[in-house]
Amino acid sequence: MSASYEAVGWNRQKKFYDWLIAGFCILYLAVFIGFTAIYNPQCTFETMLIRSAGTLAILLLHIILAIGPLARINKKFLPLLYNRRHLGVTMFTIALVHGGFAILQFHTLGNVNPFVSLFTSNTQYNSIAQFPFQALGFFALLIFLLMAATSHDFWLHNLSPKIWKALHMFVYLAYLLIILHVMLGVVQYETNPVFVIIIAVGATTVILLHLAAGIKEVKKDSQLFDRTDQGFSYVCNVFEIEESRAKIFCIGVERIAIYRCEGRLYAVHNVCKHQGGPLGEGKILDGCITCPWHGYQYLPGNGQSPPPFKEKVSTYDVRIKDEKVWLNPTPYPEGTERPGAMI
Amino acid sequence: MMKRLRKRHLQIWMFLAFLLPAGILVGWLTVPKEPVQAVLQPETSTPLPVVLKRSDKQNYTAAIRSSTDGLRLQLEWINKIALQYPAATIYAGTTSKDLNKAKLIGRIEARGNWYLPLDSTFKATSGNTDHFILYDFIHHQVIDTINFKP
Repeated sequence: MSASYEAVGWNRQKKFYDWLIAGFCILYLAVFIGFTAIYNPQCTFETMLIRSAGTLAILLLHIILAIGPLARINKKFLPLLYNRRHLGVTMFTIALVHGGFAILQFHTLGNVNPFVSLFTSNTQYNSIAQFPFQALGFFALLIFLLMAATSHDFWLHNLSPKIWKALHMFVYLAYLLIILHVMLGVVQYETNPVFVIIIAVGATTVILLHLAAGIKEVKKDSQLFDRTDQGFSYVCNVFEIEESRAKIFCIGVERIAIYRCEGRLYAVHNVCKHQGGPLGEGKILDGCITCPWHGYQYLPGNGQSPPPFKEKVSTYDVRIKDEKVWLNPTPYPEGTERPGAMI
Repeated sequence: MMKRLRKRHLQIWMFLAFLLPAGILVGWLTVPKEPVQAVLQPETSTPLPVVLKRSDKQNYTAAIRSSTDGLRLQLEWINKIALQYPAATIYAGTTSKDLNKAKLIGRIEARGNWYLPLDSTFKATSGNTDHFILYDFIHHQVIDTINFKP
């Protein structure tokens, strides 16, 4: 959250995660290269690097793709979501090492431009077993490059969250390309079934997690609130909402978060202006609703970010009658002050 | 996340739930039945004692070796410097550059010494010229031919 674009403020948690990511990657590469050097000493260092970086990038991609649904299924995974961007850039860097060295080793020693060679050295596009799998990896790398290059909030702000999100959803296409890159590449040249098993387990895990999280969200969106009174719908009892926390309700087109803060209930639009994070899954910190994804903050009474920040979300009327909470889903303009409901 | 975006995520993953397993299955089914890696990369063995023929090139040396009883034959390949190709296959043939009539001997990598067994159908008689083809299977092109003159 920033009024202007400044260097990232590294907090203790972020530093810890970054060191964890760096340590894991270095350890993985060292162990992979070490074992290869012992058990396959004829292998060149470039080949070892290509193989170790390729497998590490795929492992990281699976972790990245699992974080989103895991965070939606269980809030304990939210800290991972907060640091997912760094993991994504790390994955791209490692994939770039894999792709760069592969192009260097397989395509730079001839008299043809390496990128031309990449697409023309094998033109058996009509064959599955002989398919030029390197082209699939190249296009996936291109998508990762776009994502890594636009990962900073500067691009999010300038492209608008809608376009930025649409661009970053291309990661799913990249994932498909990577799976095919492996299946039509290394798997075709190895007899060991371990590659197929690992890829199948990884893809199944990611698919199941995304489907489980998606179905859970659809159920939440489909909940009916049929008790109405003068535009207000009955949503829950007061005691169901913990202090400094919220409950989320989907009435009509979008979700609304009802927060309990210092003896009052406040209702705000559930979608954070930054990256569309679920405000209702955050908590009140320093008197502000704090988005669980990246820490953007809003005042519960008016949905405005505290000065000097300028983000605003819509507010709603909420009332309490006989310990029952009633919500009016008609939004007020973003940043409109509402008194909330006294408990 | 907006409701529309949540719905789109679910739709994409329902689509991928069919596409990804299909891709994995098709890729797995098309793996060659012949164990390519095992055929092309035999275990490193020791050189046989008798050198029948030798061809010395700038970057590598190739030799046909045999056991003392002459029953086992072997192609010795020594890379003097690293090959410009990270991996290549070697074929034995009666005519140069005709892979269709050649027999796959094995795979070598850019560095090291390689000893590839030649099966009983190979005849290293002194009156024949033996051709070997060094082939880049990544780019599908012949790198070099090695002729052992009688």
